[in-house]
Amino acid sequence: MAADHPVSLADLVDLQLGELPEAAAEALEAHLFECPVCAARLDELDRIAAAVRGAAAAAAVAANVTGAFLERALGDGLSLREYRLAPGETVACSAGPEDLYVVRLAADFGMAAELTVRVEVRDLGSGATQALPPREVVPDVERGEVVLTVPGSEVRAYPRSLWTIAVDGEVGGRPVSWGPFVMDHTP
Amino acid sequence: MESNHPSPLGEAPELADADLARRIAGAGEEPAAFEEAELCRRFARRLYLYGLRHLRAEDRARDLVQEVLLLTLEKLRAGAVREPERIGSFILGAARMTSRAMARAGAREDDLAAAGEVAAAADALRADPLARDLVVRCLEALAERQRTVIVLTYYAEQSTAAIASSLGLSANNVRVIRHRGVAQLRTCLGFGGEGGAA
Repeated sequence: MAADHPVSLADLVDLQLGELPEAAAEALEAHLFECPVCAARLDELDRIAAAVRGAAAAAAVAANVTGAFLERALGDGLSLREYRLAPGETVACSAGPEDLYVVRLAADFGMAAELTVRVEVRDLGSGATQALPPREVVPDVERGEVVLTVPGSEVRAYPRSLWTIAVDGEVGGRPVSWGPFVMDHTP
Repeated sequence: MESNHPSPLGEAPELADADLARRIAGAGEEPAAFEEAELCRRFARRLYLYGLRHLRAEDRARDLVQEVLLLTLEKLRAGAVREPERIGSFILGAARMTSRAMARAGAREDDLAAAGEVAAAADALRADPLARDLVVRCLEALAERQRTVIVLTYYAEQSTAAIASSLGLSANNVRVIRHRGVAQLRTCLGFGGEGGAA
């Protein structure tokens, strides 16, 4: 079985992840030893993977993740500031500049595959409110929660404030809103 | 007519891998030093990446590069490579045999080694704010779902099936999201566009 040339990026990624069927993987590896162009593209993918790993391990990535990400972060010794809230709950929160700030919104999201997280920040000093851009997220359906990470350095930039979070989605064709989840933030 | 003597530096890019192999094999008593160095330079990175995929540790991948290149040069010098024009296949075959032997001997220091590599990557990014800012900016520029799949793939080291299961998506959907995210990261990080079939 011979590999196609140029090799598709999707096939190179599958090979990189060890997810190509064995015969296809062997054919592609043979091609890579004959083709410096495709080998260089696979090299780029490894550099990208290393860059992503490095950024995540430096607690620099704001993302919608799952419990598996948190387990890896704990294993790597990251300093996690985790806050798990159910609808209607308020928690006091803070984060250091080196921390990874983790918000876990736990609710019965059912089969809702696409959710929108809306956050309103009220400055407790000035009373001013600010709506952050909404985020389209997916829940960790195995654990029944939406998990969001934010670098601690970003969180610390906010003044003493209350963050009111709502999660909107659709279940059975009907709009549903979960919340409020309230974070009482001290920088 | 091919020369058995070391080539001037400018000639190397003109030579095919097979030409290098033939020159090394035909060098006689005095090794074709330049051709040997050039062949090693060309294949070292490919061997290293092969080693990383199969042995999952940087130090063992480096050992693989060393062992396979030494073996290749020895066999070429001894005239024991039957088809020098297929030197890439010979090197791949040697890499397969060597990595299987190393994997059997290596047991499971893998987790420790992998953790060390992640910590090193994080330290490197902390030490280079420009590189870190670029990587973070490129990740932020991805669609939220792409970023989710990319970090679960490359940081949490979750398989496609595991990501699909935890996010309630199909495996094919995860692949498509990841492929598009990687393509965008490539461009953003300055590696160029899709560059090949999608």
